[in-house]
Amino acid sequence: MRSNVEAEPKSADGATTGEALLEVRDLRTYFERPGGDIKAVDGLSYRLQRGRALGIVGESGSGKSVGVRSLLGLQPRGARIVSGEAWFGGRDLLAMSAAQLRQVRGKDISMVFQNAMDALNPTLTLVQQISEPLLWHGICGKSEARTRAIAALDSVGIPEPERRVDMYSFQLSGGMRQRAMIAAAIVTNPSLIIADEPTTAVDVTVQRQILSLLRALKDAGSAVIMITHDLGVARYFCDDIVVMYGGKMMERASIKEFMAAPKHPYSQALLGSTLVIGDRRDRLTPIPGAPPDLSRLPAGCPFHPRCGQMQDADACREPQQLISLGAGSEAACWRVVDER
Amino acid sequence: MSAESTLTRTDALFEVDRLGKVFDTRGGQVRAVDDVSFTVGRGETIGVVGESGSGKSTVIRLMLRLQEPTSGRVVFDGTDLATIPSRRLGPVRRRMQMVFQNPYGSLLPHFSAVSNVAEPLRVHGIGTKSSRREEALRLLELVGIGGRAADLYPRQFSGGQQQRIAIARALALEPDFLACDEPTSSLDVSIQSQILNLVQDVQRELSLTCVFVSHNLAVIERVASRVLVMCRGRLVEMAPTDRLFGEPTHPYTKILLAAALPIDGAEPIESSVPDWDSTVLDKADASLVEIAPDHFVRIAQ
Repeated sequence: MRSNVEAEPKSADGATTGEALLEVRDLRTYFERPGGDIKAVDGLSYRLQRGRALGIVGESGSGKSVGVRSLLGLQPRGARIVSGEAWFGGRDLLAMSAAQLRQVRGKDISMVFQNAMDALNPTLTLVQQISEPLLWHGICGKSEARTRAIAALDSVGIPEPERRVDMYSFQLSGGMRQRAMIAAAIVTNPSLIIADEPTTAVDVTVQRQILSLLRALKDAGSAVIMITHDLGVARYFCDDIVVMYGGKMMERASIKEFMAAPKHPYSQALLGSTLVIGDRRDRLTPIPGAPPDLSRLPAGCPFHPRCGQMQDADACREPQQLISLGAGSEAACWRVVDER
Repeated sequence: MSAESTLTRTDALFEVDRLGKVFDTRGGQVRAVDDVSFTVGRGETIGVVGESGSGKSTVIRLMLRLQEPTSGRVVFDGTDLATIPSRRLGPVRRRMQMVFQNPYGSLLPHFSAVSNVAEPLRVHGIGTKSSRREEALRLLELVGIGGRAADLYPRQFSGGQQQRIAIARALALEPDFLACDEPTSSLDVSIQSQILNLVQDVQRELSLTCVFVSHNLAVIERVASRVLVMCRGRLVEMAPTDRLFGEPTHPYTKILLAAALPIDGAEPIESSVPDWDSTVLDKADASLVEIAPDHFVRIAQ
């Protein structure tokens, strides 16, 4: 599976891929356990173009975080990438050595985390942290790096950046801290930004500021992968969506198509159980049960024991193939064929 | 009309009167709750919304006397809580219970589910060991944790199931009042509506009086009949739920509503969140004014 790093990417039909900035094919990341592998990510494929945002949506344990962290070699300890390719700028990230990946991380691809308090180092000033990728990658010298750090803080809307650049992260408010972390992520002008639940820990008003900020970066040509469990955030920010459940990809579609007509029963149930203002139903229609334990996944479709549309248990217990529904839309449920 | 008029509401289980709480921190004094007054009628569910640091959780903690107020008073069923010596708080505490945001953190990890639920009964010296277990099993059944699962330990349950156990425990003492502090916020989307349905079912069945704190407006709209909006320790707006969502009046309420990102309806536009500097709350001399029946808004003099 692991081809050499510089090979030209080929899509499934053999043609070279066009304008995709990132193309992930059949990524599988497993935790090896004596009783059998825990398949945290089991077949994840998507393409992402410049200036677009892909939302990866799922509940806890769906593999959405491990999936993107695997691209940068940041998967948790004990996790092993057992197969897959991730073509980024003509090179396969998954075939790179640790040293090669370090040249990409924080320069061409950077990450924005959920909790800035944890992601920033409390013993270093902002200028030390924001200029670190510039200095480490040898992009510029120290005084230039300081200028760029101030400019980055300014671009994320932090007032008085010249003064705040010498402050520590704990001296900032929560919203400002989150913005400072984004400043550190964008100071090298990366072409891909991976944001892992960037607004989950912040207030709704701050959420809008952070999303506006990320949108400006997207409009300037960066691509964004946004991991979220919030379909409202995905709808507002993303162009395309991948839905994960139990480590598997359930559906992939443009956000418009997904919101208008979700194809997979899990997607439908997820949208149906999301609370909205103005909902006049007397009782909510929750999804019964709980997300599965990855070490004891049901056979076939991981969602079938909770699925309200399960009509043929035998077919649901078979491994599901992603079925193409045209216009880049796919769903991993045998029933969508009937409906097509 | 001023804030005091809200206290004339008849048949109130709780009267919160000019409540204030100041925390001393290294950075100076923080007014977590400032001059907050409202009542909670019997059988009513009040929703409290606000962002982090708005003082919404502190209000609940003061109502349950888990913390002492700096000023003002909390009257529970006709008795000023501050007048009760702490050693005699037990019988009052029995009548008010709480469900927390983090179910795992609120359960005893070395106690099984059934022992967790029976624990409040044991603390208050109710029943015998076997009657307590029986009652705990009944409550677990009520919240959907049946059979053998009752003898498992908290970590063996999913987050949603842990919250069910926490709810069963809160009901063990047959309280009149249930405070819920973000009970669904740490749960997966597919589980949140299960827990909300459960809370609503037990609330109706047992005619509980509730205060429900959440930053999620959709959750509050669903469970509450009246809503309090808090910002920087102040109550900025209070109205019946339909009225608050239909005619939000305070700029901060409008911001909260505009900032929500729904999954249906018109797509929110980038600039739709109004600009308003909440620090004006620290400066202006303002009070709650009743602009329509039961609809109070904090307006500068």
